[in-house]
Amino acid sequence: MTDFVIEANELRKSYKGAPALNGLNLRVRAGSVYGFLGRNGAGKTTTIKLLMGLLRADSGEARVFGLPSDGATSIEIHRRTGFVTEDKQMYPYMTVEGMIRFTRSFFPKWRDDLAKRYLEMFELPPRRKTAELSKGMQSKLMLLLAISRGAELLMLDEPSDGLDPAAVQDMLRELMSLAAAEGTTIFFSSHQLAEVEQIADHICIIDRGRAVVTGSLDDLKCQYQRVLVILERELSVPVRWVEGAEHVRQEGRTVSILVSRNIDALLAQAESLPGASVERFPVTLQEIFLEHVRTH
Amino acid sequence: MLFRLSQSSGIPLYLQLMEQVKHAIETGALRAGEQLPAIRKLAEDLVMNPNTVVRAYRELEHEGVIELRHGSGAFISDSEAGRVKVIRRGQALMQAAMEKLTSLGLSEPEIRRLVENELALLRAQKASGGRND
Amino acid sequence: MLWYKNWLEIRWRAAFSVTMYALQLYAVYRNAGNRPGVVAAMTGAFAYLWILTALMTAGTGIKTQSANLSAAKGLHGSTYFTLSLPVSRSDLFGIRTIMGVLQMAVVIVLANCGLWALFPALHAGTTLGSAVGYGLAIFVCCLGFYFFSALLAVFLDPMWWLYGGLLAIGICWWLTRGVESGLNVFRALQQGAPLITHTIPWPAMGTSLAISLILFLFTLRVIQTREF
Repeated sequence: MTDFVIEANELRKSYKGAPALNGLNLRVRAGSVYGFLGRNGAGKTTTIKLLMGLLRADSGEARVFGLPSDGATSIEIHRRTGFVTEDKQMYPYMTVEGMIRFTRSFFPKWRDDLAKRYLEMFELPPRRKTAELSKGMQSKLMLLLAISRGAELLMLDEPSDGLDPAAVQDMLRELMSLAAAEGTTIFFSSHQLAEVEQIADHICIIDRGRAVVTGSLDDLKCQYQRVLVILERELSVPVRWVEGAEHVRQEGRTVSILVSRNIDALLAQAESLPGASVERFPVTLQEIFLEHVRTH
Repeated sequence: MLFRLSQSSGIPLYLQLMEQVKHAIETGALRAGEQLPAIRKLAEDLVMNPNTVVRAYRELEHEGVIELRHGSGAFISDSEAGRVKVIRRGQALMQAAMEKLTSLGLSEPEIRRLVENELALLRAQKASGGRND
Repeated sequence: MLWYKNWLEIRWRAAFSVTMYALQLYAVYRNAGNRPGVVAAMTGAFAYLWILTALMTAGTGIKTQSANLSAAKGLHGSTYFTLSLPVSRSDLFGIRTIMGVLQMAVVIVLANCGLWALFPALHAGTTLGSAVGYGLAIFVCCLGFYFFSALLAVFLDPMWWLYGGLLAIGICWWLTRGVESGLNVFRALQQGAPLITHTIPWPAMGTSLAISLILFLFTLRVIQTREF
């Protein structure tokens, strides 16, 4: 028994010959806010569908709460998890109220207080049919339904889809409140790096079906630095930088290096170059992301 | 209200929060013995991860800047009152140095680079055990 | 709540079927008057309608369950929501099946009784009770078509499912048109219709039940292993 709420080992999945997941590894601890990042088509939604039990992996295993994600245990997982799916569609003929009553009937731990609070906060019209809701309202309703379940885990696929900036902050605030008060584990995929940077404590960047960066966000930001070296004159022979120097870019007399570790050795090496002026900068999540998912 | 964090600066949020707490103490916005906001409230107000707030508070406790009292919350250490005096003295020294540097005609970015260079040297000295190279 | 939800999804189809029947009955009544031969022929022609009802009632399959149809996507939004609930796929399919089958039974029995009531020539020797019985017999014969339609609805878009289904049934009809045996379900709905023969077509009902069971189990298995 581990204390990992979500665990994936060497997950592989192909659709019609094209690989969607190529040996994905993932570990999410209870109580963490875990950001799952990647470009379109990198495998985010496939992973979430696998964890939901909608798909079966070709090889490898996926577990939620220690239980296999597909098969008979999938129902137990669904009892304890709130989902927001990529497609924010609900039953078009049902009203907002109707959806709440319907969903409520499946979850004995339903939180009426939370449902009521979000209904007001998100300004959802109770008697409107879901087909007539705007995209943003659909997202909000789905979030309401996911959170009010009283679940231990929230799995959210692009939860801020369709939300304006103010609504996004409202949503993030509620998620943080939930995390603080109930210790809910939050696993969410997003394109919005700023949102992830704001609330995640751990992240995983997935590219072409594999995890290319994982770890605590704070640690990653401490580890990754950008070093700018300005030389006296252009070097004829390129420097063999020490380990930890990823993505070196040279333009004339300027060398820009993204460093993933071993910063002190690299700084020493840089300062030893003739007439070099060396500066270091902190690195944003966007830089880390782009450096790892750009096609080279 | 007291604290403003910047997501895009690249500096880890917990470090930023720690800096802001220390800054608040130095400017007198927070005094020795006063209580810091509860973790949950801070997480909600700043819309940030409660685990991050916890980490910042823990590090601050480790450094002796605050005390975490079981069940009551986080409070600024009394020892900080003494620290503030030291920092005020440092501030005075810094002001004097600044006046001299600016009278030399140095610009702000140039002054900043000088300060960073000195800090880097200090760091290197500490790392190499005090050897002077 | 699942029962309620399925009812919400199906109720308009029930109303549609009932209206269709009412109109047909009325047309027949007006044109045929009371002549036994014509009535019998007309009653036989109702076979089309029984089958169509079965098809339509079953057609609220997983694939058609949303306003947002997209053949390219392969599946429709609200299904993801349903599948995120803590309900097994077997339960979901089972409840939908029961609701659909119940509705179909009610519609067919009512329509059959309507026929019986409107045409005294058919009354001879039968009571309302037996009309209900005949209705139930027809209903059982139609079960096979219901489950066939349900299976198709798992895979096909509404258009393909309807036309493809009708085509497949039409082909079966044509292929079995020479088969005289009591097992022939199509015959039981037309010439052998209980209202005409005043007997219960047990063999045909047996065929239908057998086919229904096989199709039901197969569809269940498909749904359980299907990827979304």
